[in-house]
This record gives sequence, structure tokens and C-alpha cells, in this order.
Amino acid sequence: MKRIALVLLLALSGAACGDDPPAMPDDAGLTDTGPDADAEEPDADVDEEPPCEPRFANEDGSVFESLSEYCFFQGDLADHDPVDGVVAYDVTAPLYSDGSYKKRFIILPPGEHIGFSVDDRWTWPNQTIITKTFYYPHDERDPDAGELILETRLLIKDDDRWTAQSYLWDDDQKEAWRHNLGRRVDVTYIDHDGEEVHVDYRIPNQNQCRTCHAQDGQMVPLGPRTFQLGEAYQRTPGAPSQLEVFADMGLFDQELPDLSTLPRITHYYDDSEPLEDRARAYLDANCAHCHNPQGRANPSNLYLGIDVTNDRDLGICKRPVAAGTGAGGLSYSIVPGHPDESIMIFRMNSLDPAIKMPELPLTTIDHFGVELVTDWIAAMDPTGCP
Amino acid sequence: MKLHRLLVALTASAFLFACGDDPEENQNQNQNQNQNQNQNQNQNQNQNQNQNQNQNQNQNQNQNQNQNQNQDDPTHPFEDCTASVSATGDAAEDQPAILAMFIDAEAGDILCFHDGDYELDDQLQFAVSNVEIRGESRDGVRLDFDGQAGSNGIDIQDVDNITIRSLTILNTAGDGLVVRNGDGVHIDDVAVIWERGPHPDNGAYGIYPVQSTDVIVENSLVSGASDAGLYLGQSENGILRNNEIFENVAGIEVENSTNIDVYNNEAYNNTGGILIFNLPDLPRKEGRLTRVFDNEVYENNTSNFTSGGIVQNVPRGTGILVIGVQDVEIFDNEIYGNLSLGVGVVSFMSTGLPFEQDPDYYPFAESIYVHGNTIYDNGENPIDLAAGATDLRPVPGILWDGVVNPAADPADVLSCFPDNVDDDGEPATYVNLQGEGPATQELGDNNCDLTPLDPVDL
Repeated sequence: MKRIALVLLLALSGAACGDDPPAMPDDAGLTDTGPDADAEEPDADVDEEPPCEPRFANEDGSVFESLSEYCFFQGDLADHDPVDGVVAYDVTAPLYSDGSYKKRFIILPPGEHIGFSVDDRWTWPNQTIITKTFYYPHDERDPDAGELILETRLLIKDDDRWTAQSYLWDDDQKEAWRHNLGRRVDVTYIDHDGEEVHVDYRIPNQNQCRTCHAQDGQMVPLGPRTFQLGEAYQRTPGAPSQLEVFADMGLFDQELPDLSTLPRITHYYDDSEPLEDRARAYLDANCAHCHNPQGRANPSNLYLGIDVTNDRDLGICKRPVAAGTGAGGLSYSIVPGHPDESIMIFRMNSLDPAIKMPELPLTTIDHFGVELVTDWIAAMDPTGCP
Repeated sequence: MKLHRLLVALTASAFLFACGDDPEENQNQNQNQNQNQNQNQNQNQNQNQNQNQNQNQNQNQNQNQNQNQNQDDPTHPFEDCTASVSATGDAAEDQPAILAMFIDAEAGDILCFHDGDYELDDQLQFAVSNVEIRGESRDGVRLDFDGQAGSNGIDIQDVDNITIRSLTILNTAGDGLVVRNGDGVHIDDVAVIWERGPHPDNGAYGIYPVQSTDVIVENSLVSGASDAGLYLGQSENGILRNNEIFENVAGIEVENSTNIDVYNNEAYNNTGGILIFNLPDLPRKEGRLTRVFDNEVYENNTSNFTSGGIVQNVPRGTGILVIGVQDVEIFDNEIYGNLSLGVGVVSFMSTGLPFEQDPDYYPFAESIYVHGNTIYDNGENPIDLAAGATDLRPVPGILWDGVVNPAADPADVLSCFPDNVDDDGEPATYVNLQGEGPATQELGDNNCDLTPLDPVDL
């Protein structure tokens, strides 16, 4: 087990994030610390530090006020260098979050297991924590330029239910402090093309977590499930899939079925994959947490998970129910062959709070996603709608 | 299958309206031009309205004083708040203050807003059961969401036993007050207003409980919603009463819901006053058992200013409209001055919209019991659906398309329209379009009685 954890660690220190566009340099990770950090922490001190083990909460059951108290990471907190028992993972089809990059970890209580399921959401033991850190590289072209870490979100399972906490990173990137009221942060970075990008980044408040994470009224983790972990961590060529790695680590409560039989979502950035699969993967990752029968957008009857097979549920020739101004005067969610007449594209392409989709705090348009879904609709047989 | 083929045939015969090439369209444009004038008139009415509100408010204050004097009343005094906020008028302070109160809430809490002008820059989400959110007074607590980032005003999700009372929500980008998946929802003395008046860019819904059970919305006011002012959708067991709903596209809309009472409401200057709809392609299929009574539904002549959704098919000047719902009782209402039609009862195929794609959907308006209403001065300048339905001018006070499931026993789907009168006490005018058959203005077999529906007991 430890050996495999070590493999993960090594992979992690290579460190690109799962959400990277394909052009993302492999080594633009969080492990690069500035010279200051090195100077402040002589090696001798590090060696003398007692090994830190992941902790779930204060003795009185209250959550920690700072991220470091959880003992998830060793060395500089910003490096996200996980200790034993903290498992890095990523997803094949990520959620677009205003262009931010993400690092994800699972922390199971010792000796406990994930309840594996092929198609359904996995079940998790109490005292599981799943974390996600959001950051931007200062310069997407230059991994040595470092990153701005904004927040680390925790999903915490206790008493058979999940709650969410958010930790905001200090300006000096040494510590993150619990903060549940949300915040707006002005972010500036240089993109792959050398252009300066400004993002009015929204750290959501605690009550907003439900927007995406509440399914049938209960908070649940969204990313870690079978079809999202069928690839190697960071898509490292030749490396085993994360499902295999998890299984070898003994994280699951059962033997896995033959891996080739398991459902997989398409890596939607990969233009060698079929267009439809890519578009459906994008919609699943970015829309289906609400647009499914258990999600917040259930009243709309527009369902965008990869398992949906009914054309009308998917929006094809489907009239809007309660879209109001969101419909933009258009008649159908998707008009085959006509993205310009499709409400889906209209809403993905808007920043008007009454119109834009997804609802949550996106302050930028994911032009990649708009283009992908536009291409998919444009390629449909233009049969017209009744 | 047979039934569906028949429905297709019925739809194809399209005996009702076609929106696109309607000769009335020019008139419609004129209507839009007149709209400005109407709005001016509306403003005057608003001023009157405000006076009325002030009077109401005085009454409320008297009531409050009485209640304050009666310290045993556990529900109203402002004093038993477990947490409260005061306005600064600065979103940078008001938003986090309210959020902190909402996030820290626990079951049993009463979360209070002191009177004041609150500025909000994002929606306020809430998800704690057994909580009351209470303002000091409806006209005093003003939550202004103008320029907000997130879509809605107060957005409540997955709760049991929630009460929201005595506050005003202004100018939201999306919906004003949303309750999704609530069981036990009480909305009392809440106002949702878009201050610029009717405008297509206003938020869609004012008060919007959806997929909820045991819902009461009362003593509330909605104005300016670009879809429905007061909407109750995909819900079971609801009471909408004593509300004042004006200048929305749909005033009050009950959609795909069961066991609903709508009474003592005033719906005016909307595009359509009260709509009872059952629509295809929704997760909840059943729309039936609704009573609409003792409402005043008048002059719902505001041009349709929505930009989408089913309500774009509602002709301006609609009083009460039933589409595709079964077991509806409409009685003792006063319905007047609606330019397109007073009371319309139609099956979904009369909208001309497709529904065959939803095999679980039942499109007929059946077992409708319309009695004892006062209906006058309606249908004098009908457009769209109302104009296409009949050549009669004015359009009769009650218009029924007469379409029922041909496979059903006629006795099981009988609709009755007895004892409706105009303002002189004469029988209200009536037309049965009889599907494809010759229309009749005689009540005939439909001058009958049905067993009254049971009141909703909450």
C-alpha cells in the first residue's frame, strides 16, 4: 500500500492539475516553492518534525479553523505534499471553474473503505474528507512563476451526512483559514497566449455548496465515481488507471469487475475522441450535477448526464419550462443543426445572472465548452423541431 | 396508441389560434404602443395602489399592535428572534451579515431583519429546516438585489417547515423568492417587486414554491415578474390566498399541482390573471383538484412582456385560464374587464403545442365545475388564442373548447357551468366550441352540478 501511495506522491510532485487544457505544461504544479520558503525552513527542522497524521476534527468534534491543523500535507502547506493516508486523484472530465486549476485529495478514516459501485455514486464511511484546492498559475507559460492559491474546499462526512467547509489562503500562501461567507477575489494571470487575464473569482459561501452538491436533498461528493476515475492520474501515459490504483491500495470494499467493462467518461479536451462523446462528457461534468432527476434543475426536466438516452430529456427539440428571460426568445433547448437557435448555447454564452448557465458563480464564459457544444449541435442532422 | 392518433388528428385540425400570421398582430403592435400610455395609467393606479397599501399597512400595524399587546402570541412579536440583522445600505456589509445569519441557523431559529434598506449583490441561499425568516415589517424591510451576481433573491432548498414573512424583495435578476423541495412552506406578508414595472428583463418568477408540499402563500404582493408573479408548480397541497398580484405576465399560476386552493386574491393588470395549467415534459405529471374561488380578477390587459416559456402563449387580456387540468372548481369569483376572455377552459391540444412526445401526459381539461361567478365586460378585444377560438365578439364570458377524452365515459369527464351571471344578474355569456363540431352558446347538458371539491386542509 505504501509503495503505491509513494507512486502517487511522485506523480503528484510532477503536479499538473486535472483540469488543465491539453497545452498545459506538465510541470506547472504547486510543488515549486520560492527561494524564501526554502530559506525559512532549514532542513534540520524538517527532519526533526514529528510525522503528522491526518486528523478529522478537534477533540470536541468542531472543525479546524486552519487547514494545516488537519495534517493532510507535509512541508510547506502550499506544496500540497500529502502524508500517508491522503490520496491524490483527478477526474477525466472536470468542471470548468473560471479557468482555475484544481488539486484533489481523498482522506478515508484508517481501516475504512469506499463502497464501490459501477454506475451509482460511491458510498463513503463517516469521517471521510474530500478536498479540492483552487489555484491559478501566475503565468500559464512559465511553471517557475508560481501560483496563486485561493481556496481549499472540504467535504466532510460525519453522522451519515456531508457538510462543506471552505478555507481561504493567506496572501503569503502559508496558511488557509476557515471562511464560510464567500468572497470575491480579483485574480490576474498570464494565459498560454501571453495575454493578461482578469477574473472576478467568486469563493462561494457555505450555503451555495448545495447548489451543485445537493442530490435528492442530501449533500454528496460529485467527482469521485467510477466513470470519472478510469484514467491514470494526470493521464500519465503507461500508468495504471486510478481505479486500479485505488483497488491495489485496498480503498474499495470489494474486488473490481473487469476494468474493460466499467463505464468511462470521455476526456473532452481530447479532439481525437468522437465529438458527441466529448460534448456529452462536457455537459455531464458541467451541467448534470443540477440537470439530473435528483438535482436542483429537476423541475426543468432537462437531464444532461452521460447516461441519458432520451433526446427530449437531453434538450433536443425540448421547449423550456420555466426559463423566463433565460430562453432569450428561443423555442428549444437544442435545435439540431442550429446552435444559434438553441437555448443551451445562448445560456452558456451569457454572463447575465438571469440567463447564464451554469448558474453558479462563473464570472467568465468557458469558450472552449461553448465551442464544443456548438460543434456538436451544428453536426446534428437538421431535422427541425415540431 | 389509438388515443394518441386521435389527439394528433385533433391537433392537426387546429381549430384554435395560430399566433404567427394572426391578422390581429397589427393590433397587437398598436397595443404595444399603447402600452406606454397604459403604463402611465398603471403608474397612476400604482399611486392609488400605494395609498391602498398604506391603508392596508395601517391595518396591519393595528393588527401588529394588537398582537404586541397580546404577548402570549408566539408567532409575531419581533422580540423572540434568535438572530437579527440591521441594514447598512452597503452590500459589502449587508450581504455577509445576512449570510452569516443564514449559515449559522439551526432548527428552531427565528432569523429577523430590522426595518431598513438592504443592498445585496448576490442571491441568498438557505437550507435549514424548522426556521422562520421574519422581517420587522413588509414595507420596512427592503432587500434590493439590483445589479446582483447570482440569479435569485432568497433561494431556499430542501427544507421542512420554513416560514418567510414580512419583508420585501426588490429587483432580482432571476426569481424573487424560491422554495425548492420544501415540505411545510409558509410565505406570509411578503412582497416581490420589480420597481421599473413590466419589463422583459425582469426576473421570471416572483414567489416560486416548486416541487413542494403543504404550501401556504398569503397576504403577499408581487409585481413585475416576466413570467409568473405567484407560481406554485409541481406541488401538492397548497393554499394561495389574500394576495395582491399585478403587472406580471401570469398573475397567479398553478402548474402540474394537486389539491390546491386559490382564494380571496386580487389579480389585475397582469397579462393573464389566474392560470391553472397542466403541462407536458415535466417530472411531475399530475395537475388536478384545484379550487379557485372568491378572487377578483380584472383588467389583466398588460401586453405579454415575457421572453419565453409557456406563458408566452397567454393572450393579454386573459382572466382565468385552465389548460389540461382535471377536477377544477371555479366559483364565486368576480371576473371583469379582461380584453381577451373572462374564463377559458381548454385542453392542451387547443394551444397547438406538441405533447405527443410525453406518453405519460394527459392533455384534457375535464370535470371542470364553473359556477356562481360574476363575469362581465370581458373579451371585447381578443387576440391570439382567444381571437382564434371563436368569431363571437365580445368573446363570451366563459369559453370552453369542449374537448374531452373520446375514450372516456362522458359521465366521468362531465364539465358543468351553471349559475354564472354578469353584473346585472343576467346569465353570463358562454360558448362551447365542441371540438370540431358547431359551437353552441347554450349550456344544454352542461347546465349541471358536480360534487364540490373538498377544501385543502393544512
